[in-house]
Amino acid sequence: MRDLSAVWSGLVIVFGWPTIIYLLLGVGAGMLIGLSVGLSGLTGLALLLPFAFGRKPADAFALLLGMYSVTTLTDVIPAVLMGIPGTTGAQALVLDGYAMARKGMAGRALGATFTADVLASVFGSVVFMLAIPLAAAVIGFFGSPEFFMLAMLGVSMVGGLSGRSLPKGLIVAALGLLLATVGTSPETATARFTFGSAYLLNGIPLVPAVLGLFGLVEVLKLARSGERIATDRLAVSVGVSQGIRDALHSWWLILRASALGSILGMIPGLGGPVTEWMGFGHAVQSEKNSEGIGSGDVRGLLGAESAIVAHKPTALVPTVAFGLPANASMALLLGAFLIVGLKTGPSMLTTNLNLSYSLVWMVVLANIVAALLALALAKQLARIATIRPGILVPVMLVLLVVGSVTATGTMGDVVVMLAFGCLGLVLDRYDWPRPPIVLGLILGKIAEPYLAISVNRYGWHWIYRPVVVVLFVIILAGLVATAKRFRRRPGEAYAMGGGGTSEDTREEGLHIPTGGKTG
Amino acid sequence: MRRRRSPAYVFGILALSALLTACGTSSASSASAAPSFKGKTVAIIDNFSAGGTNDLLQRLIAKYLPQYLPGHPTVIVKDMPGAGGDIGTNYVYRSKPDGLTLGGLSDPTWPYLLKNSGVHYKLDGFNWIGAVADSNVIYVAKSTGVTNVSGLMHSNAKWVFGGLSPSSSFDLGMRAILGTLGVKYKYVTGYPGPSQEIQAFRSGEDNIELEGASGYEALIAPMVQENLATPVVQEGIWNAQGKDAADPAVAQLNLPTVWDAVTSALGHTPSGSYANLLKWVLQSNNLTRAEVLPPGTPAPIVSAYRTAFSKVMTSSAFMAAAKKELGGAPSYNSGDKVLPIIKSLSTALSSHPKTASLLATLSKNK
Repeated sequence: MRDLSAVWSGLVIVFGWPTIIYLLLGVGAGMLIGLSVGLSGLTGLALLLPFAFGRKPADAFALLLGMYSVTTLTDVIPAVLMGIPGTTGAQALVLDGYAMARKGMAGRALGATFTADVLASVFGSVVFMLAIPLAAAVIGFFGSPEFFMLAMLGVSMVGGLSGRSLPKGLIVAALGLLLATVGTSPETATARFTFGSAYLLNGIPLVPAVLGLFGLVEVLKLARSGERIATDRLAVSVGVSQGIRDALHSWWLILRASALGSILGMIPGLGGPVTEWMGFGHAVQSEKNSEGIGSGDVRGLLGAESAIVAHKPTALVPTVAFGLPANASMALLLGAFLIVGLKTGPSMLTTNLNLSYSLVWMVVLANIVAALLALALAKQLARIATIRPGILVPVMLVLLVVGSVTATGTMGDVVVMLAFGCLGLVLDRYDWPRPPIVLGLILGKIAEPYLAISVNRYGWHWIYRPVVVVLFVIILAGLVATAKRFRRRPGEAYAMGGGGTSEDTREEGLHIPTGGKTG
Repeated sequence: MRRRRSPAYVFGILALSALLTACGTSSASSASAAPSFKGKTVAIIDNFSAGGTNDLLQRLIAKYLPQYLPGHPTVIVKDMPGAGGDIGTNYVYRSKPDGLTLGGLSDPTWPYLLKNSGVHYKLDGFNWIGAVADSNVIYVAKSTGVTNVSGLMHSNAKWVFGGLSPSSSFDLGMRAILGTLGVKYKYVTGYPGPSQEIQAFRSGEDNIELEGASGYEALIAPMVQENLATPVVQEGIWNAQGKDAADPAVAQLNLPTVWDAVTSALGHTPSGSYANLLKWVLQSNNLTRAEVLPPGTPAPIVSAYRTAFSKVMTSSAFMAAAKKELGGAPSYNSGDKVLPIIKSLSTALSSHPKTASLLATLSKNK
């Protein structure tokens, strides 16, 4: 009863004056940051943090969360319209989104994604409210062995990202895992494969690698073809309402992916990109007739976007309740708590419970406002896909370079982007999938230290831990399902890498939900 | 009509973009070296990610610094993370010495002492404006029942310490303390960051940890409130009088400093290689947040910065903001006071070969 009253009081705080204005300002800033290639919610928080100085807690958090909540909403726009992920949390969106844009369905892709944003943010926020009392128990179950198994769960989804050939997917994923070992060994502090370069001591940065692997390849292909991304000016903009209907039809997929994202959001250290790929992988593994996912199927978009959006509110749980930041952005938000004179931890669940719930309302309202704005602009935005390559290509190349240097601010970032662009071109030319490299690169950095710590700390007894066993069973079930899928459709072709690679793949693979549950 | 673009066209635009970006990122360093900064933008380089303790401190300094610098320039903070801070530190070391780029660097001392492969700077080659001291608080699991260093030394608990990297000052500091006390412990390292380490502590994976004093309120206090953790001792900061002084950032805790607590627990002054290493760690705590200018910076510019920083650090507005926003007032020493410490640490390895050998062994996790 007390909690329900706090939920209501939280809403009243958000609509207070001038808190609501700060929220709207934050939403505006977040939408612009999401659109800017290479910038992310983390960058936005760093930029806006000085504005928290001297503000009331509710005003400061309205500004910061208003911005942070919506970057994953607008980062879909460059991903869909240009094949360039706006942030590292929009990698998987390139696959289906850009392919849909090339089929003249940019508006439909945007409509579906923005609708999923609203539904997933509401779901994630409800989970936040329910999870607060249970969070301590959930978090207490996750030690290094469980983190290692979560990384393995991600790796096991490689089958869903392998396109037509599982062996090719596995080989490319192995390459990603190998590339993840570049840098300083976490256990012995020894430099590996750095060739004397200080730049590589921290490993290969994800932002320029992803921009090269997906963005640069698509830009070069666009420049070479000389064709517009989409040719039918009318068709690109008329599908917004159809996209909304697609999302509503696929509510069951959105719910499942949101649940997955909500759980992963609460676990410190996994982050947005892992969550997004897992959401995408879940769509591939669990949906019927999923062979088109990855080459222009709206369900791929919905799975990935729902997971990453739902993870944002629940990432607040360990930060607010325990002072335990779930990711780098939450570490910054923790700084904001200090700046406004608040202490995280039990007091946020007792004396400041109203404010804690107001944070969730801020996330929900920010997403609703941003989605309405984005939907209103979707038709106009979708026309970007019809701009002449002579104009679009130079703009996209500048965006790629500027986006790359957001990683470390050095020219090494541009070199990494170019190197991964070349690798992406080779893979694309010979029809090898690109996403498993990213999966390997992200998960390798999680799996390696946690496996070493698990063995060092527990010997091999860690494999008997209950959560480890449960995760092992889930992984096994996923692998069996994947093997069955490949056996059922040997050699069936569909692209997996960032937009159609040939005329035939551009003609197939679009899934149009027919109603009800799609799972 | 289909028009194909030649590869030269595409790579020409790429090269132009890269060039424009390079110009954009280095425009601050193309200004003159005049001691007046009117109309200029000064960049403070943070060598770690946005949102960390160092980033927050440098942003606070950037807010108050302009009013005390000649010409009242705009001051911004640029985060340049990577390679354990080496990328940002190297960048500052080779920046144009025109006073428009300075380092607000977190802990450049230990990578230098350990001769890390990514280090391309000399600690005493910088022009030191000054340094903000920071230390760590050591805490244990409440379930061990230990409340002080003597209890830690005599407890039967199976101690497990989780670290970040064998060569980090964080790991070396704790291992120096436990080694000096002769406490047996299991060492697991490689946690990706402090929050993962705290997660490990919460899940019971380890039971003795340390965290920066400036991060105490945000990260440790919640666990103390939940009866999960007990703070037992603070590292403290080795002062010019040869004493381990309490860190003002955690004055409210009334924790003993580690050198005094270890002396009391052992019954005599600590000695030997581990004790030497511990003393170096405590000395280096003076230099945790290094405010430095590149080598070759003209003396008038160095002097202008030293004056401005001293005024910032003693201004009541800055102190009040730091207490509220960072959890405590920073303990600051100007460049002339920290230079003897830098020289002492720079020559420490050659004058104590046994401790140097121990350091090499520990830093490689052998």
